[in-house]
Amino acid sequence: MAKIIFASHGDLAKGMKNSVSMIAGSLADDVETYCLYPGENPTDYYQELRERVQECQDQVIILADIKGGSVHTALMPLTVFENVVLISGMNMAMALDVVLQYREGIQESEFDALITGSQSGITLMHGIKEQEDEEF
Amino acid sequence: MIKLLRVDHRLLHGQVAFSWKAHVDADCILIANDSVVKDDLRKTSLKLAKPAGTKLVIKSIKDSIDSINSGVTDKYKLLIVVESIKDAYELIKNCGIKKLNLGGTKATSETRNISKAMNITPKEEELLKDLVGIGCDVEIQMVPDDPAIKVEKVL
Repeated sequence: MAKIIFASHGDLAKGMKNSVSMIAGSLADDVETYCLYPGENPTDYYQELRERVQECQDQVIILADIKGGSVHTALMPLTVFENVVLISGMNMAMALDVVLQYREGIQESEFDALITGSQSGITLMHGIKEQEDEEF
Repeated sequence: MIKLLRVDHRLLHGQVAFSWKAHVDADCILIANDSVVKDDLRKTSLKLAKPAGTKLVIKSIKDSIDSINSGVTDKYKLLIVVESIKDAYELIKNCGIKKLNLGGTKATSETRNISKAMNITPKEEELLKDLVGIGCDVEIQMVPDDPAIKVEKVL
């Protein structure tokens, strides 16, 4: 079982867990959240997490809210550990994928699929076009 | 092979698309519905809810029955979603499906509530009793994580 962590500025991580559990149910129960609040230093969480990561054999999958943000940057050094995977740009599709599909851990060969999957959820619609039907 | 037949008035949405698709390991979703077939707006929104790597086919009830009975769907791990108990009844009666999952139906002035998300009219109650009578395994279960409740317990 992988350890899954959502990390964000403010309550996004907590809210993401709440939203994911609406679809994934209790599968999201074990997700850890880290919310950075004004006046706090994400390095404190990094230090604490570093100790835990070193002690555990399981994979740790961290989804951070924004690339280069202080949460992402603070946690980045954890990736020296083989068992840590850090992804930025957390969105609902990505969070769901991790909780539903990669809860047992994600293989290196699956990294691309996870990222492309999360990216493909970003769309823009403007006007309705006639739909082509898919057949069996 | 039919993995799941589900009644859900919202048809395909997050719950069905992600959790049920993953739970029954479906590779093809059939939306059997007479009005969606003619409605590009609804088709567009349903296609948005399609999980990656899944085929999504939208057909009328009659065409769905014909497709299933023709054997063309046999090669798929099929998840069928219908909007109403009546539509599910048609499919079960005409295709010999043995199991029905009740996800959700809207409450109206004519319905009575039989679970958190299921609301049925007296007519639908008769249809369900009939299905149970012919040996169809009818269960109320909104998401795979919820316990399944045999419908006969609440009829």
